[in-house]
Amino acid sequence: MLFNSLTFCIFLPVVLLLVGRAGLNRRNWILLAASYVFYGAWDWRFLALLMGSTVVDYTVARLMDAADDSPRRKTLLVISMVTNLSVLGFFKYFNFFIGSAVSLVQSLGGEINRPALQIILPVGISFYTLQAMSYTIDVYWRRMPAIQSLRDFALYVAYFPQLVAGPIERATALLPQIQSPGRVTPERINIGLMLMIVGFTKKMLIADSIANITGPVYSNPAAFTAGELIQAAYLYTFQIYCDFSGYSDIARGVSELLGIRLMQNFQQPYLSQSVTEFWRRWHISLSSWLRDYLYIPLGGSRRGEVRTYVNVLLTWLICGLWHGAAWTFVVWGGLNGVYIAIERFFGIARTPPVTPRSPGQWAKRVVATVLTFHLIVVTFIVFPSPTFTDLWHYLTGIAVLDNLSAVGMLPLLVGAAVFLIDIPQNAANDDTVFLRLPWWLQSPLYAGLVFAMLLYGEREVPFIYFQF
Amino acid sequence: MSSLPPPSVGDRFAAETRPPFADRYATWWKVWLPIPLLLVVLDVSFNAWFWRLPKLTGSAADYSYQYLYDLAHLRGTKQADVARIVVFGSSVSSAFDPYQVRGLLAARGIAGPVEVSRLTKPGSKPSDHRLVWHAELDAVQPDVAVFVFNLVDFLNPSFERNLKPDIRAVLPPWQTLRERWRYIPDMRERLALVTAGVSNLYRYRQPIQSAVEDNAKALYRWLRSDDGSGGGYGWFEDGFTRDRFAVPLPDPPPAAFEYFVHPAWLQQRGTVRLSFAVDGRPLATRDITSPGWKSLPLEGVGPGLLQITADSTWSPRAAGLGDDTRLLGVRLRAAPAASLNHGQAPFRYVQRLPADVDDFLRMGYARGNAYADTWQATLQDGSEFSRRFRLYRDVKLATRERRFEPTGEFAELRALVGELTAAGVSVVLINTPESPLLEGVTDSDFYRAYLQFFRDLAHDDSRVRFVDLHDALPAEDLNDWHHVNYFGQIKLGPVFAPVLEEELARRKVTAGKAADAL
Repeated sequence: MLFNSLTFCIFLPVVLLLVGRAGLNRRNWILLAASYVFYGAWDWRFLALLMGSTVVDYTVARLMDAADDSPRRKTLLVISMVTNLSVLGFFKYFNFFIGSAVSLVQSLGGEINRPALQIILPVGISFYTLQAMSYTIDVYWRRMPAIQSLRDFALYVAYFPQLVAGPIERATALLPQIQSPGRVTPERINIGLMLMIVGFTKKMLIADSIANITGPVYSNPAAFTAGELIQAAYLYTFQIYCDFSGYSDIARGVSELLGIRLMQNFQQPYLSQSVTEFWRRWHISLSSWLRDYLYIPLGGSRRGEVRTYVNVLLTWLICGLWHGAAWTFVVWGGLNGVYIAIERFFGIARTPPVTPRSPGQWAKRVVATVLTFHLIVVTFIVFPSPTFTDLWHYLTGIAVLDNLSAVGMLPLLVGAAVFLIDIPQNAANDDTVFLRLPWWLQSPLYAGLVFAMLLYGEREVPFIYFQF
Repeated sequence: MSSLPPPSVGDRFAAETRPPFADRYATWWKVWLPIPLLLVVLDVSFNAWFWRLPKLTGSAADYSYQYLYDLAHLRGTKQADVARIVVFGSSVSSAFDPYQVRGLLAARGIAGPVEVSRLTKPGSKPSDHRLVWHAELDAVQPDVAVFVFNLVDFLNPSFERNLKPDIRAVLPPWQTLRERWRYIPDMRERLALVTAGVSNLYRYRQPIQSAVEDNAKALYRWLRSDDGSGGGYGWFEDGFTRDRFAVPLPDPPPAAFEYFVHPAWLQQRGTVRLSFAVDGRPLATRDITSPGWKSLPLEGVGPGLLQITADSTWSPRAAGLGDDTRLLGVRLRAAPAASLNHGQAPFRYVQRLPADVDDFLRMGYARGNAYADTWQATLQDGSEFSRRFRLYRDVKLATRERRFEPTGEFAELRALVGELTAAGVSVVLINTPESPLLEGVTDSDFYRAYLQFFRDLAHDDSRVRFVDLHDALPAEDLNDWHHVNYFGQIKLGPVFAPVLEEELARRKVTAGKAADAL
């Protein structure tokens, strides 16, 4: 079920009504049932996969909690990891690895046919797999005890607002709220509705409006001039941000109305002054997951300079692969890793962001922000390119530098719309800053936005991150 | 779980019960309560305000909006002493220009005022029209319903296929749900129809979107336009003008302004109305019913810009006067100096008027063999248009191998005609031209039976007439296999007018006899 669908407009009030009238015990059953309905609306067959993953991790964690000896705990952890990664690997990477192996053998002169196996990628599998894994790892590290209630754990894995595209919540943050949800106060209603409006605005009014322009360009870059390619690169940079952060905002808003607070997944990333800072503000739940469960266990920065750079690159290559089963995603991850490694080498990563107080500092900040933004734009040329051939056409197409006037004012207009939301939030260090406006200003503003969504909601464009 | 450590990641509010800035938030109900209230008020009062907004663009800009707009203006507006003719059909119904036919009827001196409207929805079928008429007949109250159709309208039944969203947009939602429930496989579409049934804002979201966008564009154009005072505009070197033109008046101005109304203009349009203004101030209006040189006295008019607006244009090519493809207005004694022709027509809020000719002419201005060559090249050019029309060709040619069965959309049409005549409405069925380039379709048994079906309908009921125009136009007067271009449209107006005049007269006689009997 899409957030930006008529079905969800009916589904959500029904769930809120049922949850609002239920006690804690029934509340979590209702939420679990609603989560399964939400997920099953795409393809009910994949519910079995979700439930299977839930039962395995729940059982493993319980057994792990009960076990005293380290080898047994380790064995159980391995069982959980292998199970989770096997399922993810089969559904997401089987064709990719088989295809790559076949291409390698063929390039070496061998004769081998690619097996024909049509595998559908279950929506959200990359997200709920990481979420479930973080729980078993935390139990293994004794950061938390195993949960007793299978129902509550199932809800933790399947909680519908963040099930298909995050934020990837930690058990330490979400489980206590599932077991003891907060009261739905006027503040929560305010925050929830405002976040939903901001999220839907980003998604339906900004991202979906750009999609018609960027889609054809990225799918056939050879047919476009340099000006059009550059314009599409800028626009896609805004589109993916509005699409993904819009989803996160809606998820957080919906969850607030259910009395559960989700983490902030984006903090105005395009105002970052370095790529390192960008990744502290972009898809925070994933980057912190990779930091805590991959980079640090690999040794982080504790095992010397060379190993640190190796760990950084490895983490980012895996981050790229997590995003999609294609070599272009691996290159995208690697490019981010290189950026971060270079910033680390020059000490930029350790420099705190400038809080400008003088014109000189303002200038420095603007230059750093603009430069960082353009480095990110380059990565978003790689990211959506289906193949290296398309990427090559894209880059060589830009190199021709023809028809540059086609870049036009549109990226600036879209950027202005995005920064109209981001700059106040960033300046106040508060993503609920709009709630501080007088009610007579907020009310017509939100009404206008809701009206615009009603007019443009017909499109029901899926979120980009659903494919991951 | 109370012993759990606080979250290691997440926003700064994650472990708190209240956000730090919550005290500075506006009161929640003051912010949020007005929004649903406002939307409900807008929704409930929708029909009272939305359709009063002028539609700024031509029908091709958004056919659904045009259809719903025209339908809304027909609802509950029938005047007892005005004969109402409503034309409807798919895209082929654009062969009928209601504004032109109204002018021609008026020129033929029929008794009493006549109103002619057209409801065109590309892709719609008889089953769709029946749904609309079933819901709207009492409110619209036509005297004569004219169904303009082509063979293609009967070859892919609407009720047996998933409803296209753009067709669904013009259908009455509850009626559609009741009659098509089992043909709508997708629950989301059913849900959309239910929502459209209870909410005007949802049902009419597409027209609202078009209206908002059209007005935004108009505002942009208005900001960029000049007031037209920069000089004259709208004339050609040979002295002919467009429908809107202006000439600078010298100081002192001449005693009269002279202009020529071409006979072909009146043949094509019946009457012509010219509105005169000086520097935007209305000066005079002339209803012209006879051709020739005319004169407008300019006594007391100072120097300035004389602006003239005609309510229609005429086509020399459609009149058989050579290959001149322009759409023209009057002719001046002599064209003003080219140096004076540098202004732009002033901004007009409603960009298109009912009198404007639909500008569809895909094949350029070619004629004869050049037209046939262009059409063949277009069919093969790999575009979506060519793919669609190759498909139409194949579907139409395939009818030669079929036996005619008056089921499906034919049965729907029979039911529609029955419903209309039972309500006292006269029905005129018009079969539009087929392109002569599509050989073999019209001389098949299927096509003969197809025509016979309509003849039988007309034969069975004296209130039903059938006009067959399948061979009325040469290929060059069509855009493609079955859509006429504007030359064809202009030529067909004088064919429709006498048929409608006859039907209106018959109704009058019948009504008179009924009154005498009483």
